[in-house]
Amino acid sequence: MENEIAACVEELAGVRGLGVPKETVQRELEALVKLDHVPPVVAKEELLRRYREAPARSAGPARSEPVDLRLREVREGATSVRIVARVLTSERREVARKSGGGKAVVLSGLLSDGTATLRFSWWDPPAVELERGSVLRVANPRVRNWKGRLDLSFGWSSQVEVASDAELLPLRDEELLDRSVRDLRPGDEGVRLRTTVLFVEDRTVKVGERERAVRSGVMSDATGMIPFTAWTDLPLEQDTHVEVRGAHLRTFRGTAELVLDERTRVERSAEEGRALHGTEMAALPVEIASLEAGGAPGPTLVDGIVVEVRSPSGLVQRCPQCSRSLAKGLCRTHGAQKGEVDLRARLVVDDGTGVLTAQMSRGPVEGLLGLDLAGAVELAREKLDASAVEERLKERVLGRRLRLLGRPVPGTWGLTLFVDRSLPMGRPSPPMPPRASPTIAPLPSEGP
Amino acid sequence: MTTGASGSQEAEPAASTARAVPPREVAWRLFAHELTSSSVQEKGEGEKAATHVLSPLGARVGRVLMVGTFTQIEPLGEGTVPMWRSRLTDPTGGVSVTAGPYQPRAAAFLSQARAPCRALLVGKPHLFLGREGVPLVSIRAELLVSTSAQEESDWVRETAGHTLRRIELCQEVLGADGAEVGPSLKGCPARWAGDARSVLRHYPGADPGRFVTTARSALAKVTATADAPAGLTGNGEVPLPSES
Repeated sequence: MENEIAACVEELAGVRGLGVPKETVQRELEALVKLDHVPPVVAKEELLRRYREAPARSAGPARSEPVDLRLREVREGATSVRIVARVLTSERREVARKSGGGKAVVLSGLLSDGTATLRFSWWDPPAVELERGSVLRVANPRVRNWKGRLDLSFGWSSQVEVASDAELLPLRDEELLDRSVRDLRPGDEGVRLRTTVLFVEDRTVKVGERERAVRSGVMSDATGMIPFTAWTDLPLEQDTHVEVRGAHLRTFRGTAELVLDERTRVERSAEEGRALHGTEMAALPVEIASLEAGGAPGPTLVDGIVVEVRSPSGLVQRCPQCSRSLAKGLCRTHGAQKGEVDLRARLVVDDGTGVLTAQMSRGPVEGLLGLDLAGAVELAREKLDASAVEERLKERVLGRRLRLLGRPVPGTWGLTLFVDRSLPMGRPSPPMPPRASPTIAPLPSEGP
Repeated sequence: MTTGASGSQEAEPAASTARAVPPREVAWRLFAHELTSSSVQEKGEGEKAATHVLSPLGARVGRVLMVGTFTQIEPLGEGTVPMWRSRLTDPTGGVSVTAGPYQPRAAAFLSQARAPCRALLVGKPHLFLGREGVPLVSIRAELLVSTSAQEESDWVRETAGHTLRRIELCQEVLGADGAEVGPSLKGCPARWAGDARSVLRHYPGADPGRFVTTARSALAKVTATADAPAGLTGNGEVPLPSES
């Protein structure tokens, strides 16, 4: 064994251009063989690879203090960098080593510091589980391009430490990306926007096992509309003008969405007048014909006349498992169920250029009915007929003009608009020249 | 869903994305003048094929949405089957409207309405040959609801806007003389442009310009009476075709 090691050391020391002192080679090779139980030949190859890949490390400049960078500033191939970022997700896996067989443990996931989110791969991580949300300080990661995305690889040359939250400095104002809604791109983080909250509602969503309260809605500025979800309690009231700092964009079910979380600050905007003017510009309805072409254009405003109320509308029973409407107590996928009572509506809306089916959930239907769910149940009880609610809905909406804010989705049965909110019509719309929908266009993959 | 897939088997490869059902007919906004000036009807083949009235302004009309005053409401025919007829008058003319047992809601409306009353109509138009071969348009009502004066002027404004845009489209199509018209067609829905091209072949020597006057005077009536600022004239982006 010793002979073998010595031979390998000799061999390595003899390789020209590595510039690694013989003692270092000896120490590192012995460590690999004796501590990690790597066969000497494999260890030799491993060291050779290390020394060749990091020639700069042993030279002068790279040994100098690494530079602190925000993730947004990190570029492929960067060396001597230090970052501080929060772990968003992590997963421990075993992968086969490329050379020499055997398995390597790698912890990979996503890191963010509020300016960008990058993948990381931590080779041979400590056995202790890394908690989601913990902050890491990493010096000298390798920055690789992995399948077209940047990947931070923490290997033998990197120093990884768990740091305190305080080290993750909040974004300074000059670090924010000033964006208008139209200019938002997937991957944008640390965004500053001045917008009007068109619509907001409190919801609870299930994240894994836990239920979390979120506020979601739609914001708008002069250039377009964007749905948002706020994961913390932020001052977002309907019809107020706000400045949002430090939000990020993600794509959820094919549409872009602005995410507001612990790092986001929201302030009521001082420039009420200008913002309001801008909102009206963005909140112009589009012709239904322009939506039939397809795509996933995000929140859209549509004006039209209700020409039909399709069943099931009004009071419905929903499957407790999948929320589908039950037909005669039967769910399409779950069979006989004891339903949960709810309100919904399917309205056929026509603007003379096209037709769509507006799918409405309880909130907008309550508005159209002028009754809340309890009131609707009461009405049905009074009349001894659940369809009394549908009848009331018909009386109130058939032949009437509605302005709907929602997400259009083309399908086999024509265009469907998933309605977020039914807005007051205000003045009748004058003949409207078609315009590009005020939405986020499908985009190329992430920018630099 | 599965029936849709099997039904499209013999069609072309692209048909896998085609609709299993024909799309719902859009409810055209047009004035009585345009509708009653139609003299061509197109019947589709096969069961339950839709009938379309082809308008001289290039619309293939399977459904209309109109607002106006209903008069001459009367029961039609004899026996137990309720059938109602009425006449709808808008600022440009009048058209016959019927409702039968398959339109219970609309028939109930007519049976209870007292003429004259203002109402919104959604229905399917048909063309009949009257005496001396004069084509007559009649609308089978699907939906009838009472409306306010405000809703009526909203409709007139909207319909005038659509009509004027279609007139312009027709002039462009006719001017192009069979050649492909520019892709933009002044931002008209693609369906309008496609229909205008095929429908106008049935109206050789058509003069779309003659509908400008009625559309404009209808508009003038509501802008004169309504307190709201002029919708169309206030919107410089819809150019009015010149009267000719």
